[in-house]
Amino acid sequence: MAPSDLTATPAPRRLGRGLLFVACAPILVLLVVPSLIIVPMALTKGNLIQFPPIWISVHSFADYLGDPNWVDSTLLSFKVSALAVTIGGFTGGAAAIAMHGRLFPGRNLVSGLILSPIVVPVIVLALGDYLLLAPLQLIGSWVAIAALHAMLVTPYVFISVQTSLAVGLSTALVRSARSLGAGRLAVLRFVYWPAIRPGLLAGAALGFAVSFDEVVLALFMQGATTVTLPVRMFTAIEYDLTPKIAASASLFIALAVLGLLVQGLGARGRGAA
Amino acid sequence: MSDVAPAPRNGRRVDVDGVWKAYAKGIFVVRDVSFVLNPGEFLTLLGPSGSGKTTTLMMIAGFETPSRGRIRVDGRDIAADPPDRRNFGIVFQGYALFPHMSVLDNVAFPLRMKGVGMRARQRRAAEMLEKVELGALASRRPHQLSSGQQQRVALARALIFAPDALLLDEPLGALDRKLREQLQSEIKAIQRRVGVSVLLVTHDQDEAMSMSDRIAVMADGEILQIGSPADVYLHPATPFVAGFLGETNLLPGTCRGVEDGHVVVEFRNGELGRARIPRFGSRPAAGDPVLASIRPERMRILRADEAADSCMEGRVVSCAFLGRHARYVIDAGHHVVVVTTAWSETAALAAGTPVRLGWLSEDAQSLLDRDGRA
Repeated sequence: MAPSDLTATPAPRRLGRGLLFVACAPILVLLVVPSLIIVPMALTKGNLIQFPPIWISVHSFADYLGDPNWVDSTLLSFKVSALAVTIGGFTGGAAAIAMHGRLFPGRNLVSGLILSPIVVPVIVLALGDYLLLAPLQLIGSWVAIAALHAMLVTPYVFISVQTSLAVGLSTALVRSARSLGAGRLAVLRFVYWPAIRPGLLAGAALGFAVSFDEVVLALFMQGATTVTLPVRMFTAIEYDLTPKIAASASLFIALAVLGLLVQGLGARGRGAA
Repeated sequence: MSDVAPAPRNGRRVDVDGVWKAYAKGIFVVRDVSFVLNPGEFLTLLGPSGSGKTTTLMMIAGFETPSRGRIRVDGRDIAADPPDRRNFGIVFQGYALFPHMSVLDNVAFPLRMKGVGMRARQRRAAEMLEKVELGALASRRPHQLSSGQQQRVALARALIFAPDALLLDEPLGALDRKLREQLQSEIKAIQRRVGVSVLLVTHDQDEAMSMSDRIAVMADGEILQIGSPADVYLHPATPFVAGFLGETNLLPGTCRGVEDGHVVVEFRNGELGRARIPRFGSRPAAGDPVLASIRPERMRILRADEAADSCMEGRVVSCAFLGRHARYVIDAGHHVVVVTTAWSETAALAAGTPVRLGWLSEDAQSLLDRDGRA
């Protein structure tokens, strides 16, 4: 919003904006403060997570990074999320491309099925998956956790790629490529890929966030060496309330901020292109 | 690679032979369409939306499959070829340029698909861009160009691989009138320079008239008439063709036989008039319902001392000043007739003025009124 726009705004509009801000501010505070309060809590001198903290020390960060269990969990979480996003990006993207511009009986059913992991309560999913995977000896496998997370990632990628296709791809574009000699693979590479790229990236970023802090499925599937970071935090809250929880939570916040920055820069790049 | 000739060819003969298309059983959107696109020819499929013209084009391009009939290129049936194996350059409405590629890469794309090496294809694309006078803009992205420039890129891209024919699907449909006229002459100029045959699909009769060697007028999935612009305008075969190409008065009546090489028509108001025997449509016989098609610029308001081959009494309903000419609406009892005349302020006729209308037999076209479609 350029400043000249603001000065040109008539008084009633300005009043409206003021009221909007007054209405939104408490919601904003409610959303942001609980996330940010965790950072000072990580800076406590004490050995328990508490608010207000006992100022000021960084020993919780040192403890966190020095504890092999916590470091392993962190690395595991990255590994699980990376695989989940890779699988989910592929399935969600492929599904969106396959369904683009095609009308067939049961289309809504298929698309509902793809979106269902968002709707179905995770605890139900987790219980079902547990009962299914336990006899197969797959509990405790990080690949199994990633595969289940991929199921959660798929709908996010599916939706955002679908949006990209609706915006950036027309039948004429595909037909024109075909008429110029492009086979189906070439159409995929030269027409679909550039069109879906922004949606795929956005969906993958969102999917990564979903997978990285997913706790219910990971809790059910955990094994002795496959405790993801959220599960370890959850357990720690139950047992010892160590400030390492706050330290690792700060990591989550840093990741989220980074994600927002990347997305913002991406959007700006697209706007300029 | 050997099939990509460096010099432009004149295109091949495209034969559309008895083609039908149904999307649902028994509901045909294209019915028994046949025509030949000759090498170097500019042929237009002209018709309102829903007339089956775009479907016909898409069947030639390979994006739709005919339910019946054959499409041949130089005698070879191309039914089994997918679109990328057919050799047609297509320009779509909106041009469908690849947004993420430079102008040069867009034009080089067909060569890339044919496996031409990077350097060779860039050189040839640059040459092609010179031909359409866009050499300076090779590194731009499509969205940085005006729509006129985009059209030239689309044409260059469609022509660079020496296609059998150029297929244009309402390329100017979304543009305003002035730009459209300018781009029409550009397409025509490029076509003459390259010598390629063109099949244009449009609903714009001015576009069809100004660009085509021949026009095929389509309605309800059928070709009603195919011929030179002068033929279809001056000698329409059906009432629809007469009404679709330019404005016309279609006066219903009954055929009272043929006299001195002209059809005698008895109009609803009881008056008799004469009109040409159709050159292309069915010849009416005595007793047949017919329509006399008389263009507003051929219908005349007679002075008291003037005579004409056929006359009709009427009364002025309204008069509108249109700059170069005046447009009168005249109530001739049972018929409403539109007349355009040169504008003169002193001779302007007020509403209610009784007038006598007249026309020359040569300026009226009798048409068999087969199903009342007018």
